[in-house]
Amino acid sequence: MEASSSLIWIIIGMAIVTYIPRLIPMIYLSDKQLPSWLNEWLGYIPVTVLAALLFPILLVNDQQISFSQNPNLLAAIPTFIVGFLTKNIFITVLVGMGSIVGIRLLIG
Amino acid sequence: MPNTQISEHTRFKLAINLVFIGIMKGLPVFVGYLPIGFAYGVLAMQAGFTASETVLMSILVYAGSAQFIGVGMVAAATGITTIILTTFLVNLRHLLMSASLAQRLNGKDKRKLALFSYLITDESFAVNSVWLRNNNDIALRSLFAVNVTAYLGWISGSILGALVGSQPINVEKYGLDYALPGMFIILLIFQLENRKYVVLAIIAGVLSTILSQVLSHNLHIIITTVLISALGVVISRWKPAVR
Repeated sequence: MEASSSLIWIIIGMAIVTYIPRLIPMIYLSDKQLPSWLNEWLGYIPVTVLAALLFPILLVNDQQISFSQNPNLLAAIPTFIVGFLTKNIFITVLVGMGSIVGIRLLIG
Repeated sequence: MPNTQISEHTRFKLAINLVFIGIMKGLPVFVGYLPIGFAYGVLAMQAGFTASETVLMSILVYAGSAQFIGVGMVAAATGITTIILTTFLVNLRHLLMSASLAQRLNGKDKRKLALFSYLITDESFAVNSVWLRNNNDIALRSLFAVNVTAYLGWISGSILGALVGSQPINVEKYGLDYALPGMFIILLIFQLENRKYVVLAIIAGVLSTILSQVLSHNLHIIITTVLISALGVVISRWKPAVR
């Protein structure tokens, strides 16, 4: 590993390039009236970005799309059900963690 | 006292209330971040970070997946330029989230918004978006409280991970690695307002999965989000009834 002083620079660099995309739209768009189609487009971002983040985690196993013997996908079934029933973040995350442990024991 | 005037005391109580509501909204994210932050802390320590470097990265960068990737690249002795460029690409999706929130925070104080935007994450964004959609005039103070609560969860988890990280720990054994997908699952459920959103979620999920096989640096997430949100607009213009 490199010397720690360069690690500090890596952290600072990462912090800057992470902050810029968070900051710029907030500053430039928060006082503008956007056309209605653009507003509508921005309104779909929460659902599409979360689906885009989640599905690959569930469907890709060992770098390949897999529908069988895939622990992440199997554990998602009880997690989704409990999520729909309870609408509770904490309980759902706990059920997810419990499910993956159980499924790994079963299909190990 | 004329009843149009609110006393200092009442105003103070109101402000405290607004913060309190936000903390309650942020608390589940706080709890969810503990195991993920913990896993990050352990991995960073095992990659040779000191405890203070591990926690400093969580304070300054505050972006889950980028921190995991960053730790992995530092461990693999990747060059600083590659690490920073990758981080930029991996976190570029926040651009879309920030734009989406900005549209609902029209006219608020820019200095406060600048600070607020520092704490945008996938999860705090999801919670605040649902909240703003259901109620248009939520105080910025309350949204801030959500973000700060989540931030403290991430930092606390990282500290716990840094404390025990010098010992070898198997994060998979305790299901800690499933806290993130678990959180995404429930947050996605919150977004599913009607059938159209369900359809968009499924299309986005499938496209993102396919693209993830051919693209790197989380680009599949950005491309999918841009395209499928546009599809949502196209559908509602083409068939206004399914809006």
